[in-house]
Amino acid sequence: MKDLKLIDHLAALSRLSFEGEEKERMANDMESIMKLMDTITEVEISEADYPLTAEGGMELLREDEIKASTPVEEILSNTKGKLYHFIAVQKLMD
Amino acid sequence: MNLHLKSIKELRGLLDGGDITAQELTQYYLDRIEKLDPTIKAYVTVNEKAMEQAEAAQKMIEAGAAGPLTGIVLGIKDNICTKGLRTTCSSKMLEDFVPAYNATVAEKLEKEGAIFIGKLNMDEFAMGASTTTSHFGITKNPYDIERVPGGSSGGSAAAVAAGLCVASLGSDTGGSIRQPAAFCGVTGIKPTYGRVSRSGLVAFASSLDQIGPIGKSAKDCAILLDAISGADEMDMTSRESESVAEFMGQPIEGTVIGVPKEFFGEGLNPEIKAAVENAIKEFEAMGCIIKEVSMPSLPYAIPAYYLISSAEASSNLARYDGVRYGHLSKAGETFDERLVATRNEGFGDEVKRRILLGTYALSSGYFDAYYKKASLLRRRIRKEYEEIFATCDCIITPTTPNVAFKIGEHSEDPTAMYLADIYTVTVNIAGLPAVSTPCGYNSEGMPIGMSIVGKAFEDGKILNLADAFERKFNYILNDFCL
Repeated sequence: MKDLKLIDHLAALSRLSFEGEEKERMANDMESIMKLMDTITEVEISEADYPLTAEGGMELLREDEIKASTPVEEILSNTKGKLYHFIAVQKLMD
Repeated sequence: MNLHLKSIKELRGLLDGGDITAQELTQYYLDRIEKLDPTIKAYVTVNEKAMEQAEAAQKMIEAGAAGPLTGIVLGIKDNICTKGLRTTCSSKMLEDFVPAYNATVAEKLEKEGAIFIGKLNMDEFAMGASTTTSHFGITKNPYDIERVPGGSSGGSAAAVAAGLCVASLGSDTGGSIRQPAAFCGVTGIKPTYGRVSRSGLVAFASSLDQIGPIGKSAKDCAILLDAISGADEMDMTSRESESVAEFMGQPIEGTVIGVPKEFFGEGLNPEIKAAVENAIKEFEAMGCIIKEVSMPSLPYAIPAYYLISSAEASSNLARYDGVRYGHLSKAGETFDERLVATRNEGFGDEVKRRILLGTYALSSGYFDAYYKKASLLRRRIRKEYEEIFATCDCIITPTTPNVAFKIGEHSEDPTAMYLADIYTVTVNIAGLPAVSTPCGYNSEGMPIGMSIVGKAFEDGKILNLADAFERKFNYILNDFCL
């Protein structure tokens, strides 16, 4: 998979970017990793034998309940861009 | 008094008997950290409020309200949220993140009066097997500081081995408790998926992650596991379960132990093979029944694990945009440019590789070939475990194919590190409990670990087996750091 265009595509989907030597190195690493991952393509296995049903126990959802939670001030204590009680970000559109 | 060599039960006796106070025990560990951690580098953050916790614990002891862990000094892996105490995931992305809430496990331990001495180093976002991908530097193996402690819970294992805390919490997504426990000569259990709440554990791969204890012995791990277990409304996958302490000391005669032949084949270091086979003979001598079994899908476990875990990671790590918390880049004119710059600067190489792999496995045109295939293999591996457990109570395998490797040994080839997870990942894929306990040393004096894997929610049985072996093996933690 040493495919620099594919690295660009995956990086765009992942909100990352790679340039120059870093892109080259990442492409080399991914080529080696995909070689290992490709070993599963040789496995003969079908959904008929192993149905992909929901994981056991995952159906146990609790009822929504309105109750007090962490104060807004504490939640915002890690936010760098703050304006009053709001999170400030760069404008998304003109 | 060498307090760092004492078990939780022994320390409980000293604290309750008034021989030492919680403050004295805390100061003892703070002094050891000051003396030894500049070499070991197990801690990312030492808790400045540890002594305040110790004072509160001492009041509980004096009031006769102590629980098993009141006044006991614990280290916490740095991906478990601790209110008011920095939680970095060993990443630049969360370098200055101070949680506004406790993880459920931290809340339970705090209520019991345990002391959090500090936050322990790890591979960045728990992605790695060496604790060399941390933004805060490399943790060293206390047995040989030129070697890695394993990972991702390398700080948690090294701190216990070096006597820098009584016991610790780690997390295990593909072996991240058991492998460092094996490398550092201590005991660690990855609990059954659902036994321990994951609320407040920074998510890596949510269907595989589980918090668990690392200690000097199976008995210490059992005490800590009971303290953190239980259903939690904040984690819908958590369940109530039997106390593991009740299993400790039960007779093990007649236990049927499966030995999967695929775990003892090509790639396994001969010294590790011999040590684990000797341990199996010890179990036979203790009255257990040994039976050869098979797991034919083992060769495909590594790609199945890495595809599933990376797919989940690529989704879980999408939240890191620097907006609500975490690193925020100063570069970029637009929102999107700043988002990309933030993630480029905040994540290290291994995290980026996993995000790319996960994105690839989930992307249009590749989903069926990779993610779906891995999910089917996950079902097959579970089925193979069910077949084994139809006739066996547990299985025994090596924890790792080799002992702790030298720092930098696998730095050029990420796949070499991935392949070393071969004996641990199937347990996470199947959601089972597994404990790694020391079973010998190689010719260079490095520890060797074996894993005992049990049926779901039979964590107590495998801890009891590990305890029986530890007593027979007469395992005593080396005081090598002095």
